[in-house]
Amino acid sequence: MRLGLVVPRYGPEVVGGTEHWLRLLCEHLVADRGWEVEVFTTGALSAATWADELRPGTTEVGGVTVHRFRSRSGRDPRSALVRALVTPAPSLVPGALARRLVELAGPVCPEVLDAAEASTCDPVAVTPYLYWPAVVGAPRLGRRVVFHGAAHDEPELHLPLMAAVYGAVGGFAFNSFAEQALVERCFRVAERPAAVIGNAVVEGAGDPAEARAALGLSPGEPFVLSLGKVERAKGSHALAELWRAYRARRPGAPRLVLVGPVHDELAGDADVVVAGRRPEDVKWGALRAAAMVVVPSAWESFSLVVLEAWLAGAPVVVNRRCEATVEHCVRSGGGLWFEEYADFEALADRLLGDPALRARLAAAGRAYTERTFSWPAVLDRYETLTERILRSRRGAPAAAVRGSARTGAAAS
Amino acid sequence: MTPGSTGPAGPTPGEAPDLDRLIGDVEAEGARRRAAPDFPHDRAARLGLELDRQAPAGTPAPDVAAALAEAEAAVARLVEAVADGVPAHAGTRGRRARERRLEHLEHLLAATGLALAGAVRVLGTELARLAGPGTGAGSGEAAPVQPGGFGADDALAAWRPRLAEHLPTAGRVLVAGTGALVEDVVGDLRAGGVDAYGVTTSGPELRSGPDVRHGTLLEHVRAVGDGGLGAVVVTGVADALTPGFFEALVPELVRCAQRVVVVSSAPWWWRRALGAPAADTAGGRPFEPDTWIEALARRGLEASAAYDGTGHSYRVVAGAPGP
Repeated sequence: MRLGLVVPRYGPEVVGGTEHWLRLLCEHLVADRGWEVEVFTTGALSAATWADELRPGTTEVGGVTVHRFRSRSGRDPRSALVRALVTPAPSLVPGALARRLVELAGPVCPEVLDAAEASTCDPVAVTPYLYWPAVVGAPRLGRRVVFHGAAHDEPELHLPLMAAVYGAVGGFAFNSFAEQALVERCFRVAERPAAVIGNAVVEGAGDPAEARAALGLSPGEPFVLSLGKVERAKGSHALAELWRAYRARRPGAPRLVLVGPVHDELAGDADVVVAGRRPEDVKWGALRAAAMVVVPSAWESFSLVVLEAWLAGAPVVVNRRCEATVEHCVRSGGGLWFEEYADFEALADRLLGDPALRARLAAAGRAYTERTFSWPAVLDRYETLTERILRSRRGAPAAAVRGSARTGAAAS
Repeated sequence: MTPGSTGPAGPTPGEAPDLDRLIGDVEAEGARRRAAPDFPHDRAARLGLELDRQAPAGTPAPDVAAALAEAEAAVARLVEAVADGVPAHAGTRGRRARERRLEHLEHLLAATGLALAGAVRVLGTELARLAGPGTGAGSGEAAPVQPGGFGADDALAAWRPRLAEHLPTAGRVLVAGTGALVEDVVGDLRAGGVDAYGVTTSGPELRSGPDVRHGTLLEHVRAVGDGGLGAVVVTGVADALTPGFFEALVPELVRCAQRVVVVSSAPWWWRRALGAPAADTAGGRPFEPDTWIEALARRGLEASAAYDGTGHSYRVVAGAPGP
């Protein structure tokens, strides 16, 4: 199999859930299944600007061939204004305005699509749904596309032009059943080959005692952990306030430790430790040492942290507003969720006061993670999905199979 | 409750956690705390607002207040128009004419209101069903009753060897059922060159084998594009029909598939196999083949039916009329 990947940014330097996961998927497909993979991308590292920081040209990264092209334009600051304009009623936004928003959000790089289209790669993975390469590339590459949309219920998904994007592709790789349900609520595409692929998770090394020391905690000190980018939109600030409210009523409760790069400033205090970005071994040591892990974000489309916590033996607490993390908890029996402070307090009391329950929850989560999100399981699902897409396309009406390397049809 | 104190009873050691019970306990405990005099309502409300602010807003809801205001303004304009048609100095006859026009308008609006109330009731019923427990809760599909010796897969098993006969060679074929046999049938069809996939309410949700997903038929076909399927094979759920579900299902089948194949238990056999008490109280039942044929014909398809050798099950095949 020769897989293409169209993605706005790619490489080990890129920090970002979907891009990081797709890089690992590509490398495992090459190493474990003998696939050839070519990536078509820009030189961007940051989604905030899409500025070309890496040189254009072809290189090899982890056995994967990477073609980088210069963008015509990156993220225009005016995109935030246009987004605010379309947010109240995205489904009524005229096509021209929606296309303008997509162009302003960038990165605009026609060479990426030209190269992917001219390549012999089939299928071509395209991700994520809301940026220019996918919005323009998915209709152009048509049924060759295995679409890693990584959709959230956000205004962009409801723009009328997205129907043509989702309606064009050959099949879907979803991060979760919640994402699949969301997409099938928005677009009539349920007959296309689709599978919940998710991400593979591998347990890392890390010592709890060393992690406590690295994080400035006392030996054996119990603590509650939150892992990932410290951002207001990720719920970090709300969680810090929740924990301060909790400690005000439970003065003896453990401290909350936030580990991850700080994108929105958050001050630490007697209740909350803001530890910043830490190496992998400290992360895994902290996961093993934590009494529980809280994932406050409502914006996760998959959440590796939930699965990593379970592998490390920690129960998780998630935000009821996040379908993807609640889905993991429901399917595994390994975590609980809160909606407001009263639930959160009752839940924290319950878990912190019952080590046996914490252990049972974590064990259930670990079993689910090993069963569902090991590399062999994920690669099997991905192979099956891509085979179905290729096979399904052979039976599709010719008009639907656009931009196909197999048929050599010209793309519009 | 403080950490370390005993809370609501949880699972005993060694048991898998009962999440429903745990969450129920937590919510009940949360409600009890909210009612306590020392609960920090202001702080909790601020935190709730912040959590809501950082969460997906979902599809924007229609602005009901604006719609109502617009409707009121429209009615005011109508009343004005009626008044305009009758001069203020008109006599008794003129006032009577104006009164009759306003009464007519009132009747029209009342009828519209009743229709809207009916629509709201339908929405309420659907929402209640979505919130309700059980298989197929969101789709209106009744779970097939399967007492001794009668299974959701029986009719499908009877027709399995001949299922490919009437399926098209182009386009995807959906096999929708309620039993585990769907997976094997999809495997058979794929081995025979048919691009088949399945939807069933049984089995695990994440599968790596044959293309079979967990779900219910009506929910699935509602998310399929117009003419997106070469054919749909309806089985299992065909043994658990209600009039409302049937009326909702048939147009969706016709819209999304070029050919419809129904594999169903024969009503008489279904009733005998279940026994009268279970059959009479079942949430759904198989319909006669003529009911399918008539409903499909009303939507422009030509359909025909055949019973299996035992008469225990039948198959209906429907497609566009021939030249």
